[in-house]
Amino acid sequence: MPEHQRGEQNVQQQNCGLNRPEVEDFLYLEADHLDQWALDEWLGLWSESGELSYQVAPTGEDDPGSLESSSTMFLISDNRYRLEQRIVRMKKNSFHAEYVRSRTRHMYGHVRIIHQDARQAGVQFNASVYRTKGSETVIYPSLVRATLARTPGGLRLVKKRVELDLYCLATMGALTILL
Amino acid sequence: MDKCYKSRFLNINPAEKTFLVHRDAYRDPEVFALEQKKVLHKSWIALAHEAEIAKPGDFITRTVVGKDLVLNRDRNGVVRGFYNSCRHRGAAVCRDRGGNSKSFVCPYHGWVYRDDGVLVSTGSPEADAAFPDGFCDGRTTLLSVPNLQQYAGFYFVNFDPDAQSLESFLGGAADCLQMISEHSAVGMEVISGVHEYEINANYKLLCENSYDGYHLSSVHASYVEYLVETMKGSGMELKPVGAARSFGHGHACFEIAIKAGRAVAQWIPSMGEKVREEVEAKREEVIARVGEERGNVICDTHRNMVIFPNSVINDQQSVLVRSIVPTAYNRMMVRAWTLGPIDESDTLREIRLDNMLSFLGPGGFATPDDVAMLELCQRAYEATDVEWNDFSKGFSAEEITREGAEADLYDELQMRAYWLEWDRMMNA
Repeated sequence: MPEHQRGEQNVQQQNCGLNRPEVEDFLYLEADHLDQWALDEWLGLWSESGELSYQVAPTGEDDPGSLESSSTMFLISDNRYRLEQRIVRMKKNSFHAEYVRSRTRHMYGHVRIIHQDARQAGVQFNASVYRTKGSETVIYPSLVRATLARTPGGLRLVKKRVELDLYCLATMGALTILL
Repeated sequence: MDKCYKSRFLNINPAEKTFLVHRDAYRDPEVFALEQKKVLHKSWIALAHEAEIAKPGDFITRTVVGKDLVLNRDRNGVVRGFYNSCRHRGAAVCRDRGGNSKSFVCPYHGWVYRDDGVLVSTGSPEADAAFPDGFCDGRTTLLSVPNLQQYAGFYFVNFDPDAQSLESFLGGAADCLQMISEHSAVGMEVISGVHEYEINANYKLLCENSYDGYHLSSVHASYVEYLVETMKGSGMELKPVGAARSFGHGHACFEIAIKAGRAVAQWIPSMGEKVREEVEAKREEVIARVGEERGNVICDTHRNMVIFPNSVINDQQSVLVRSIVPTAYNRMMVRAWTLGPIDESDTLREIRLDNMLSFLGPGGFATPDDVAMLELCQRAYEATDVEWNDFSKGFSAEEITREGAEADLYDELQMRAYWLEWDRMMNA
């Protein structure tokens, strides 16, 4: 079983006391940072301890949930270092692909807590991200699997994995926004 | 070529050292219709790698240059290419992207084709009886593509019945494919996961961009800064050095030695100390097998190659094949897939993918900026009255007639080679 699904089978023994409204509040803040292009603030929502993972699985796959970035070519698979470097790059004037930045609207729904232990919780939600560039708007529908950790500073992202429903990246083919 | 040359598309002046290409080649829908017939349907187009159809019954469906195809290996091991259309009413006989099957069944009236393309049933014994005698005994088959050939494991199609052989078409480009096949003693495989994305630009703009050394320091400034950052404190330097090379028939590449890291086989600090030994062992394996000189070229240099007119094969952080499907004069679909050695360890495979994703692909640190440039160019071709693009950088007239011409990495020899072949075919 892929690592990101493993926790779903766990029997809940102890948990970190997360409930859905709390998760939703966190996710809405996360979405808001992205829509505002508040990239440093968004990065600040990630856990500072341990390894983190931000991934977008490849399009056109029948069962994206079964894929691992170690053996499949993903669209994005960032660890902490590369995610930080991605943000560095996204803020530069030489980030030509978003020289006129896309406007985005992240819509999250069907938020569920799949499992939780004493430290962290696995959550799953549907996302529709609207992206407007020039006169065109496209939608990225997806299932997102995330891991949230309870830390002294509040909830933090440990993993965010986006599984797009798209057959391919058609209009606006370059994925230069954060999903 | 000493004299000036002028066609509808090219304006070459050897004395002035100028080489210009008319923008109608990118912006005129009628030119696109004409080049489909004269260039795209008369050239060898990269279709797949043999690893995708390794076992009898394996099949894949692909669209190339506007044609829907099925490629399979039949029960006797013969590799076949068919148009994906039933001979009855025309519906696609295969709707999956790939799989393994002994037959193809048309969903409309149930015609069944064996994996060698022969029709064996029209849906039922009653239906068979209503067709002429022998209808299902070999006289009806799926239509095969006119030409299907492979070189070093890469399958190509050509829709021109009079096409020259693939090997003679490839010329000097063949060795670049051969070198890829030498990454492993036991062969290469196609790694799961495909990047498929559209670009609003003429397909030739992506070909030009794929082996354009000149744009690295401007468009990819932020990627180069990232690479420099990963090398901090290691004592290593980026130092790209290399050359552009033309192979004849419009094919060309640039070969560049840059410390960007390769699973076959160049270790860089961002891969981590843990794998250093393994990457270096792989390097020794390659050198022991193919010799030191060739082994060093394989392990230390990136080759970005365009096989005229639309197959981009980049041998870099990983082997990335970009099959470009031109869908309109100002639009293309890119299907990018990657190859690795069959016998690659899980660790090196992970490093290969990780290293490649940092640079390439629609979510990488480089490709999106390229896409942005191509779309800016296309927009201007259509929305301004400027007529000519300039390809004069490093131009000397003698390169036109010289077999295997070489130039500085940052010159535009490779694109001129492309345009000369394109112009020749358009005027044929």
